[in-house]
Amino acid sequence: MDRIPILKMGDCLLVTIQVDMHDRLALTLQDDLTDRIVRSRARGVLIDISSLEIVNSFIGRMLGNIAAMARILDAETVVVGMRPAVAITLVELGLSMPGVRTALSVEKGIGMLRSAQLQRESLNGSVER
Amino acid sequence: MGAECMISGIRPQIAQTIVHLGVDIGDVLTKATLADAFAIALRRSGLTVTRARAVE
Repeated sequence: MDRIPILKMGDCLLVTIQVDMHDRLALTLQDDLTDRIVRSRARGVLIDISSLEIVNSFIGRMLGNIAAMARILDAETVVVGMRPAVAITLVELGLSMPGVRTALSVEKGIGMLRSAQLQRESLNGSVER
Repeated sequence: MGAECMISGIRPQIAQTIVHLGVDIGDVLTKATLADAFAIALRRSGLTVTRARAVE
């Protein structure tokens, strides 16, 4: 069974979606990602969709779900690499992805995750490890 | 009742189920591990844990 690889970068997880997502692949990704967030105590998830030429409502919902699950596990999600045509399609279809933040590049995405983490730590306190 | 609540020790499958059922957690802080939640609870109560004597 194909799996989408999840890479660890510091306390962030990087997921690159390069193939068409079908149901089972999406569910496997959700399983793998939630598992990995808990095991690696990740504070951020970066989803790179720069390879996707088309995003439909299924993918939009899946990204929203992943962001919600990650937040419950105390991790923030940023989607990067959205192509212009994809952005236009999402707006025209009325697919707002609630709780999903976006950035133009991986670097900017990581910067967003870091500043969000600093903000949370100043509010809630951090764990010295 | 006047007490602050945090939920911790959330397993991956539980996080998925919560989202799929559309349960709204609201403002309740959620953490994956008890350690993280406990650290925050200590800090919010203005307490710290310190070592009584040096480790030999």
